[in-house]
Amino acid sequence: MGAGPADAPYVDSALADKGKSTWAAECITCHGTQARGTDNGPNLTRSLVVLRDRYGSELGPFLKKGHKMQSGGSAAALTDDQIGNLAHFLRQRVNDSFRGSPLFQAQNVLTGDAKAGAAYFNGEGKCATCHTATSLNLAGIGGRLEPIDIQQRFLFPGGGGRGRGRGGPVSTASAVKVTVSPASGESVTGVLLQMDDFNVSLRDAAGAYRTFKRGPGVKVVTDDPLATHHALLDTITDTQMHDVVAYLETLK
Amino acid sequence: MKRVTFLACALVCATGLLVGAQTGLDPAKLLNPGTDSWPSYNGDYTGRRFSTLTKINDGNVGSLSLGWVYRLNPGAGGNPGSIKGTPLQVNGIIYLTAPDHVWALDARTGREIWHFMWQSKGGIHIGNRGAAIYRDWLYFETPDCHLVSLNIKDGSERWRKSICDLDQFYYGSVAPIIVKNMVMVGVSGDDLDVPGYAQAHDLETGEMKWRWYVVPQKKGEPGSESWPNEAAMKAGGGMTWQPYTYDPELNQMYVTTGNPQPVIAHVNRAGANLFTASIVSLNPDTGKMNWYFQSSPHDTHDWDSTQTAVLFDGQINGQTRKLIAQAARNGHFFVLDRTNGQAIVSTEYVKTNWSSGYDEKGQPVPNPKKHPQIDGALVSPNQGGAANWPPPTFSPQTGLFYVNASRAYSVYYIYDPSDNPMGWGGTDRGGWGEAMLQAIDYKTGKIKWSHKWEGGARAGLLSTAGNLVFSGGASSDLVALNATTGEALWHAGLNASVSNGAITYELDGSQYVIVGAGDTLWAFVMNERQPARR
Repeated sequence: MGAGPADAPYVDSALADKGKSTWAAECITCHGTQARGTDNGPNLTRSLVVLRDRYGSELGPFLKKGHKMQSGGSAAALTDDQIGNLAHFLRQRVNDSFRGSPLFQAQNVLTGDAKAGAAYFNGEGKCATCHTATSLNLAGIGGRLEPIDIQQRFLFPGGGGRGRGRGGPVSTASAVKVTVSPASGESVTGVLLQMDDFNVSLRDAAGAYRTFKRGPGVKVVTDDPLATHHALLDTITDTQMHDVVAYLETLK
Repeated sequence: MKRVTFLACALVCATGLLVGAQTGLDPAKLLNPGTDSWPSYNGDYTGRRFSTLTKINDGNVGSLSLGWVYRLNPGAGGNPGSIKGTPLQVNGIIYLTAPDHVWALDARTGREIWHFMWQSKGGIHIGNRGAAIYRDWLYFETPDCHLVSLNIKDGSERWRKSICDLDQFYYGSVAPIIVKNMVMVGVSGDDLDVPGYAQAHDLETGEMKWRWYVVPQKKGEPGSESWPNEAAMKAGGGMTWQPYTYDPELNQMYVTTGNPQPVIAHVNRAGANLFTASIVSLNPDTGKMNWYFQSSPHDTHDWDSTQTAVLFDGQINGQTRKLIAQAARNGHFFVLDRTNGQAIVSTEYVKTNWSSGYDEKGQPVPNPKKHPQIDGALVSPNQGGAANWPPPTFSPQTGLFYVNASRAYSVYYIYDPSDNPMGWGGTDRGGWGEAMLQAIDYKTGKIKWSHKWEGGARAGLLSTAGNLVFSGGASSDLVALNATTGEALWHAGLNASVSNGAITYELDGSQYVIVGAGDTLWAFVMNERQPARR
């Protein structure tokens, strides 16, 4: 079950739109565009009448008492349909504040200085040590990704870059590599699948799953190709972060 | 409204002394639990999750054996989710919870004795932290805002009381705590902007005795000076979704409080937002506040400070002091004098980037530039926090405070740039992190040892006088570490990652370790050598 009561009212968008008309005509001056209140009227998204309402069950009796409307008339004159539509409109406003609502969207993140971003890319950030403007996933990145996704990708490439999976053949360039050198026998290198204090497993170049018990004499060395990205998180400033986004966004 | 099944009543009655009889919990056990029970969420009132048992120790833990396994059986109750609660063990019977469910199990065999299922009317079913027991009665919270009391003998319902308003999107998840003749409850929910509170109910009748609001409800009340207006503070959040700790000698109950509301977009709640994200001492008789310490003034990152506030006595500059310690979700570790809340140690237990030092009370000072921004602010820790709800442990034997920690980054965004946001109004996205078990010297806050978990781990902890710390590991395993050095000594692969904090007890001369992993409860035991039966 999700948040709130199991019988929380659903919102019919068409009816909510009809309710919006009544809202604009009779309610908006005091309770605001989003029903979050003004100096003249309370926030209705926190109103118990609204929160306990089921399609007008609470709202109707309240309005029928004769609540004064902005036109000067009495809410007692509202029809049952108008009240029901207002109920849909108000529940829609309550839902606006939830994560996942249509309003729950990132705003403009493209605020940096592209020129400063290029300088950071080629200088202090040492990005150019591995990347060029046309290599390693950067070719045309400004035309392929939204700015917020550019921001996320360069800060957190590979979602952490561990490249793990339950036995799945993860063999991407960004996966963590591991070399296991047993006490006797040849070293084995592959994509790291799982490692703890007791065991380590990998997928070798031939695609075979290999597992080793860790202990004295067993040497385990990992190589994370994204380690530089992770280390960047400790040094990059927010200004530099925004500048790099602005620069990468120019790579169309 | 309920389903109760009897599977082994006859067995329990017939097999005599070696099987736990479902007799009630002697209230004295809450003050002095002994080693044969685990009668409350943290084992005792201190929150230390430390056992004096030594039959399982750093010298023999390699011989720890599987005792039994119990997979949650919800009957017709659908998917009960993961075991995020700490089970109780009283008189040889385990009492285990999940949202809408309670089970009684034979602590020696894992056999189900009874099962209670609650018919839910909604609420978030993210987890249930456990139950409380007093004499013959069990108490637990439901997602649809009820405190329910059951008879421990057969799981039959005794009474139910509403503790919050489902229409305001509250829900119940916390493990109640028994204090004197009251059962203490808390509330959860951060979808709408509503106030958190701690509440006391009569053990016998269930009637509410008092309620303490985390955020002031009227101008002029203590803490109201830290809010811009009455509307903001009345709706200011601060959920109480972790079990409380209690000092019977001082008669102080320690409530840890959640984040303010709106969660991320914060322009309409300027100020410190007391008493959210704080450790608060209450008089359990009246619900009146003794003192507070705010771990995260004006939090904007969803960093509840509900992590367990652990009580112990320790040596500070040659003097024995009554202390309270918390590894907070924001990455800072605090040791306070629990008589008055004055800070003794304030430091980071993982590297963070959001604060600019400490104020005169030892509270972190947030860096405004690291509040969520429209174009993003790179912040560490992330929303999950440096620590979260999985309980820490403190060993008086080693003097170390152990916590599973995460050093993680994410970018925090404002989604609602209006001057009156509601609910969340933003979030964090992305992330990279690393996980480790930190052993912290309480006297200095310095890390004595750090055990890195490859691939991550976030589990509750248990420490014992056997010089052991039990934790979930990175490979869906239960791991025993040397409490002094952090060396991993033993592990056992489970069906899923450890999803609660382990408990331990001794029955019939054998020490058990019980841990939940996903939908399965695992019992490990150090068996005593026994003569063969004929």
